[in-house]
Amino acid sequence: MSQNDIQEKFLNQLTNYRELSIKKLLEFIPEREPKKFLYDLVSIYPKRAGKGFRPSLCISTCKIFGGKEYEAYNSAVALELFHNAFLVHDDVEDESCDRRGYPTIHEQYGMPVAINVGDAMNVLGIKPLMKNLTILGPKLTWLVFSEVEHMALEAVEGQAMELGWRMDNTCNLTDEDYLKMILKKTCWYTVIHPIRIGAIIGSGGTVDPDRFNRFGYYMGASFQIQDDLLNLIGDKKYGKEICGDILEGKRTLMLIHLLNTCNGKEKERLTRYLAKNRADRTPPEMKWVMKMMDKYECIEYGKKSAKNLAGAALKEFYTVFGDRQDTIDRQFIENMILYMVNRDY
Amino acid sequence: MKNKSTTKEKDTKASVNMKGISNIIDNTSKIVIKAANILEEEIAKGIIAAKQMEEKMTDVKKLHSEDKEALLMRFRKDAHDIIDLLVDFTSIAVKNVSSISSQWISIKTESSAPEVTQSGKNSNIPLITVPKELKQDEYYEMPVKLENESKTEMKSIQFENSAFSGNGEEHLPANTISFDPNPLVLQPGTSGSVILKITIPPDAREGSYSCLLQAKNLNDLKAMLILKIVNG
Repeated sequence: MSQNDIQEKFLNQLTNYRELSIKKLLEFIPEREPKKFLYDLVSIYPKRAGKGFRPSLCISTCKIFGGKEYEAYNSAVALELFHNAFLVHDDVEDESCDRRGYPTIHEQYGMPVAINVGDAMNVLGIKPLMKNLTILGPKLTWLVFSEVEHMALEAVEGQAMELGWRMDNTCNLTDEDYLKMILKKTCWYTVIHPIRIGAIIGSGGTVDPDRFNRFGYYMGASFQIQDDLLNLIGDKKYGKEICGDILEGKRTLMLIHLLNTCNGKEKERLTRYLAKNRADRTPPEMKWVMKMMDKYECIEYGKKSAKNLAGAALKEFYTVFGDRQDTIDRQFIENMILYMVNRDY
Repeated sequence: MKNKSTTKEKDTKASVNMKGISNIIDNTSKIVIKAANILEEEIAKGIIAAKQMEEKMTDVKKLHSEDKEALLMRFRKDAHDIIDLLVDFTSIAVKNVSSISSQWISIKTESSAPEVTQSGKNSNIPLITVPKELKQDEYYEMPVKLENESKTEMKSIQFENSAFSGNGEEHLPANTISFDPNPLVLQPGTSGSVILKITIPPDAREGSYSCLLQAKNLNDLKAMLILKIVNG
């Protein structure tokens, strides 16, 4: 199969699962007041063209391990609601202007409303988990609930690490620090837990979910680095402001690589830049940071790291999914990694 | 260093199986190796946290007395259905205590040995628990026995360790422990001991700490060391 075929097949399947999960998610938004400043806004982010990785991974893994698609719906919806709640609050904390090609909720409606909308999404995420009780029974409902609890806790701890680095203007970070932060902030909730939850449901709780940790971490880390790369070199279809991460002072693998490879004078200047508030960082300064990243081949370093991690994920995939039948869903996850391995920027 | 008390526990040896020791990692990308190490360290920390949670949850057994059950029933009758579900979650939690316990499998049976437990079916990180509580400024030696199961290959094991993390913000520097000898050379089919030399910093705070021990040059040789510091 050619690279284009793999990409097309993967993206079609991803679209199917995303649309299905959005449809299911909207059923959980109450049809009542207050609409203008709450329930109408709750559906804004889910309706925008997100990737839908989390629900797709959850549903497909459930089917791979023998479950029925509908058995994973509630958990997939909960994952998407918690994810979107996290994004609303994350955008506030990062002072981001754009999300999925449009203004962030706080840009459009102000901070207080945005924070409340995020809170509402967190609360709404509990309902589908409760509904699991009637479909999955108490044992699986509890197991899924425990997974979500761990996922949410890890995500906020990871976010705290990243915010702390910016607050303290930490400039002596290593690749290990970055990998630890994204494990907590991104990988558990983007890949590892959606797959674990899908496998728990599909297998009726008989599969040991720990077997997916390594696979999910490699895949999630590769995905996060690629996402950060797109912010630096992607085009407007990426949906966030290009180089927004540099404006935010976000500690990406590429920025950490730059901090660790540039000379003393350059590091001093970079540290001064990072110490400023976002509003005080100027476009010429941002361009200078990009020039430094070029000089020290930070983009290449990021690309290589992302590819290596995707390659390691592919190897792990054959270990943990190797004994599963070659179904559309198994191919979907395999194609997801192949898509990442061969991704052009 | 003042008030040093030395305890050499020659009889307390922890065996760490070296199966898979020959998986040398030369060809693997550095970033992947770093990620693998971080994941194992984080999971081991999570298992420690889960064990502590399990101990706390054991107290919930009190809820199972007849009177409490009757109270819950009455509460269920009067309360909203959401509360009812939460009560169900609580009772499921109590039932799950036993399944959490079953994830802890001992791989060492010598009665005098420090506790070594397997952290889970797939994470493969043995947990080594220092058998006594240590005080600030205390020095302690603990031998750990290793076996080279290869019939043909000699192994030279270069040990290293991460810094210790406590329950909260507390940390201990990596140089809290050293290894003797380092490297440890094992002929094919033989066993040997490395002595973990632990020196608790004088300003260390009370609490439980853990760190990752690993062989620099061997992919599969890793263990989590857990120690407890009490105020002297």
